[in-house]
Amino acid sequence: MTTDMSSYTSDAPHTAEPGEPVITRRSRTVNAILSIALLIVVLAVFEVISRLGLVSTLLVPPPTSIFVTLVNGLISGIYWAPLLNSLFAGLVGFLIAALLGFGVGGLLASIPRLERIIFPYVVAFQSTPLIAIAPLIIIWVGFGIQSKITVVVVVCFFPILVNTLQGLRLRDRDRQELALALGASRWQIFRYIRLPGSMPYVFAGLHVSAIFALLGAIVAEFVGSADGIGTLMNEQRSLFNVPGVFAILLILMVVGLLVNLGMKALEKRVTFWSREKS
Amino acid sequence: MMTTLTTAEPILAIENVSKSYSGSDSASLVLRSVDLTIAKSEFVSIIGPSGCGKTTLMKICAGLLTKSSGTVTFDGKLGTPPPRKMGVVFQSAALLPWRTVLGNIMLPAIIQKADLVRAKERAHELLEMLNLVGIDDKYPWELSGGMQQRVSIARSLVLEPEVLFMDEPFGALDAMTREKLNIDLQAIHARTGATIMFVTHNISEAVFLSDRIVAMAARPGRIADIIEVDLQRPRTQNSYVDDDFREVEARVRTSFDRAAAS
Repeated sequence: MTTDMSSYTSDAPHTAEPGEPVITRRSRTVNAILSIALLIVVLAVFEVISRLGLVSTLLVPPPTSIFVTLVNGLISGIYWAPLLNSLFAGLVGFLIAALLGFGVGGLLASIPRLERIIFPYVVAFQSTPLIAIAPLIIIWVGFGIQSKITVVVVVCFFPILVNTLQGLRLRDRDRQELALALGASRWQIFRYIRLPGSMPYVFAGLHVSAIFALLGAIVAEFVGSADGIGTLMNEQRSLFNVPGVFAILLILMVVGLLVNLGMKALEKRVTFWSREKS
Repeated sequence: MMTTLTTAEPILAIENVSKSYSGSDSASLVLRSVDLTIAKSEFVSIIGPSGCGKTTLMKICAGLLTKSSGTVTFDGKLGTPPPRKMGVVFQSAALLPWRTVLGNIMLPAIIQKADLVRAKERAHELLEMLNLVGIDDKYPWELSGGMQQRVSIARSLVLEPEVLFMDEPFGALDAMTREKLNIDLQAIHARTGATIMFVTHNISEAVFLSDRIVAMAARPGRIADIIEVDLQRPRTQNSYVDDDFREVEARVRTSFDRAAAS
């Protein structure tokens, strides 16, 4: 993250930097058309390779057959229930992790001694690919939705905790002096200065974790779960229904994009004042 | 016209104040036994070369830094002014970017749990006084440096403080903006009757604004000279070229140079 919150002393805060490429509306339209053209070309190449039998259609199904499978599946409604199940697990796990991560972050930031004692372990866990703990959690918690939620909480917790800590740890000398001059109490400094100041960091953590939540739910389902879109994908794979696997991948891609867009919009709304500096 | 004499009722008194950082050798001595008494409604500028401890002296008076020895008396009582009764303007505007202009100006009232309705009225008065009408809902980063500093002045005045501490508030601004703000600050001083302690390294700014100028010398930081500025008020842009003005300016410059050389 390259958020700069230190100075706003420029006399002309809104002009473009010299040398910054000027993106006109026209060139933007051209770029969009080129992006779509690229997609069409890639899909066409796969279609041709597959149809000509250069590779087995069992391994690389033609895009049109994936599309047909997807549409049929959407019409028959086989995706909805598992998808909702996975999304629910992801959302609940994410919310729990957000509350826990933010709460523990706030607690540690207000007790510096405790933070210093615990921080090495936070770093250790943050550096561990925690998704690898999923099989253990399935053993401990079982095949129900609880185990999925637990996996999601575990993978989402640390990014939120670390970012919250980082945001709350910021010490801006000017603001500290201001707080002293205003006679602010510790709580007031937290409430009016440190907490709002930490928001860009907290939201960066939430953004990362939202994607992790989806990942956590699906991996938990791969490892073993009675229900969910990952479980469905596993079933399709064992039936060698490769177009079916691809169709689910497409759905997950759309869901991921939506989560990303949603988090970006939320982030922009809450931390509108923190402008990224190139 | 206000009373500007030192014989007027003192509001802030500094006696034998010294400040040193870690260790008692003379090299770490930032301020050596400084005495200064400031009268109610007086405008006092502290001027001097960098490293003379002028900002340190101001921050000790405002309770933002601790002193090593000596006393600060405010309004007859030992100690620095309570936050409720003072305002501080820093070199950087130090506005909170997530609060609107009005939100920033109201911050001292919120922190001090003051009457918010009254503070809001006062905030609007100040916006008008400082030529900031119509920008209540703007955010600090939408404003120029000069405007930001105006907002920070409004913030320092919202609780109607008795003392205002200003630490090179216009140091980062261009000459034109600085002159305009000096005129506005003079008007605010006349209107509010607040006592102002103003740190600067700009001689003509100090002469323009002050009733008295304290020239400091460095190594160790100490008061080298105190110059009375008995020029007519209100002073205007034409004042800069008056003979009287230039005479005072020359006198301050002599003290400044002598302090810088010592």
